[in-house]
Amino acid sequence: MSERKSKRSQNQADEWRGLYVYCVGEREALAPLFDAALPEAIEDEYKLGAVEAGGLAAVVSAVPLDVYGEGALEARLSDATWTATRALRHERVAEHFARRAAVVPLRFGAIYLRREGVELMLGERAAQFREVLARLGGREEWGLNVYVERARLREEVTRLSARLREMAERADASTPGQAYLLRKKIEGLRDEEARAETRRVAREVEETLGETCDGAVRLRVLKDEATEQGELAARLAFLVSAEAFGDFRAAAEGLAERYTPLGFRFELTGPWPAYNFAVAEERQV
Amino acid sequence: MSSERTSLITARPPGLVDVLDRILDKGLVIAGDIKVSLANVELLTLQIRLLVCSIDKAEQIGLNWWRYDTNLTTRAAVAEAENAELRERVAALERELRQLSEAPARSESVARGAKSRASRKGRK
Repeated sequence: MSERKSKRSQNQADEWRGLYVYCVGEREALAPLFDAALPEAIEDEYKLGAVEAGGLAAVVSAVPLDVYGEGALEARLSDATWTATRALRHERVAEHFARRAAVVPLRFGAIYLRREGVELMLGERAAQFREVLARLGGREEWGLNVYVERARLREEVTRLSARLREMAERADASTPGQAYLLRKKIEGLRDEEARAETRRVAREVEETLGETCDGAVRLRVLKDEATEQGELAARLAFLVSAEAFGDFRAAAEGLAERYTPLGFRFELTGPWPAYNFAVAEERQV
Repeated sequence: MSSERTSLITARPPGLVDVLDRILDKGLVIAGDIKVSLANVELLTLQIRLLVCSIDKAEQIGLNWWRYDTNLTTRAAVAEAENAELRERVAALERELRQLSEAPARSESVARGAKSRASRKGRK
């Protein structure tokens, strides 16, 4: 802490390394996992290792501070390819340990200048880590993305709504002028009902699947997130225990069976390290 | 097996957007010694999505590890093997059909073959 910045001259850049932290778990559970083949670290010339303190262990690797130091990192982050590669490496490391033990996955960018900094952090937050680890033990995060084929849903909504059907029949029997106005009105109502139905299905999925789980979170949907699957209607994450996964999966199948004919598609991803359930009582930003 | 039912849900290895949303925006926040501002994660994610919007592009820059690394991939591999087998059987049937329909129908059956190849591609 008392180390002065002036000590680090420019040609010592190679020596000037930080420690990047991926995830935290119980020391006893994580230690044996380092014997197996490990994934690539965030900077592939360095190896993954552990920093231990008070029965907890943090999975770390060295990072060059000329890239990961303050200021330098922000510049790198604006390079999409660079960031995507590092994000995926971070994920792969967290996934390796999460598959084999309970871990608290950290958000991208926890970097320490010295080992002691990591030890201190483990000590200070020990209670918080233990609380989250107890909650995550034996559980996995699963993602469910709900897509909707808007055109198909609009058609189905028209078919299913007695009111819209009746209006369409009236339009068929009207004079051209009246029919035009009626059809405009039908279009507006149809869009509205399709949107309402999308919201309702997303809510039902969240609630129904939430019953089989130990946690449910609704994630942000970026604007215009259209893919070959259709438009993204909702992105959900669930914390599912190993024993409940069969029920969870069956409930998801049931929902898919009911809503696929309306133009919805369900996509299951995972298991993930529990990124969406990694925070203890209060969320700090 | 209940293959017809499970086919209603696509189980797939996570896409880049799912990964980025979690790594950059979720997970326990620990302020280390280096201040990192990930204030505009949405913008960053959008930029990355534009860059690697397709699996092909992701493969070009080496971001395709998840294809080889999850148990979902195993399921995908099984499905892919089934697809390959079905494609072979369809091709065999088409060959038989062509032989049966003889010379007059030849041009038509070639056209139909091309069409079904195209629709198979579309389904993938």
